[in-house]
Amino acid sequence: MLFACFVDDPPCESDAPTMPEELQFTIRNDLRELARVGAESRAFLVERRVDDRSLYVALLALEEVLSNVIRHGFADTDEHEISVSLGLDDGRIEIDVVDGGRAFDPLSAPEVDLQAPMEQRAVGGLGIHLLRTMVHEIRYERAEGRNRLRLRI
Amino acid sequence: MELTVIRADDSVTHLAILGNLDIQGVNEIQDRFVFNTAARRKATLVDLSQVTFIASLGMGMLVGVAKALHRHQQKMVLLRPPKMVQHALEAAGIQHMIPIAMEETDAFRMLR
Repeated sequence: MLFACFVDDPPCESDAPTMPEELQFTIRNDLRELARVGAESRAFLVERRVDDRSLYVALLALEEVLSNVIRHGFADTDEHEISVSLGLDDGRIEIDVVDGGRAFDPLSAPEVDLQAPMEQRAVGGLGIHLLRTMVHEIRYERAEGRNRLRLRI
Repeated sequence: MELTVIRADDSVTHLAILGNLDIQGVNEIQDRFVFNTAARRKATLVDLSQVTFIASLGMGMLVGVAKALHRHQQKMVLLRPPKMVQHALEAAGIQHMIPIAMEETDAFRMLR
């Protein structure tokens, strides 16, 4: 595509299409929403040529965080909204999840004992451990009745 | 998500999982996976070479079956997970419970 900008002309604006900087979702607290989030997030990140490891960790983080909020975050069976944003900042993937569920700081969950013998290892509890191990930075805050979890990958 | 039984005889169960082991994938195959592994109570080889993604629920499915087999003195081995799947499994310490092999001959040897 040919682009030209002349000094005496009005300020130029590129007519090349620009990619949105951020992908935003508002999903219901329904596990069936995860397929859509995963597919659109993958397409967004692939288009921006993130490396394979970062792509995998981002999709894993979305799956773990959102499934946790949906399955455990709300005390009732009502429909609730969860806000998700996904973007790139300074070469890192940033994920932001906001929900109005019960206060829960994933960083406060006890560590999993990876060395425990088979008989004592729990089947579950690996999601938060995977986030702690694979995500570069995790920040949690609770404000105005909402949980906000920010991840940098 | 697909599950293929490669071999199921008196000595071993050998099967392959294909696709994404996310929540949806686990829901699709968990019952069949348990039926074809834990319920058979044989040494079990799970080929992960065609698994493109695994999260904690998928790992939990594998661990649950490994524990059930262990109670009956049977082993499980995971075969040839792709690089990022292997990385995720090792981040969760799965290899401490379920050995991971990159060659089928090694995997069968580990099952003895």
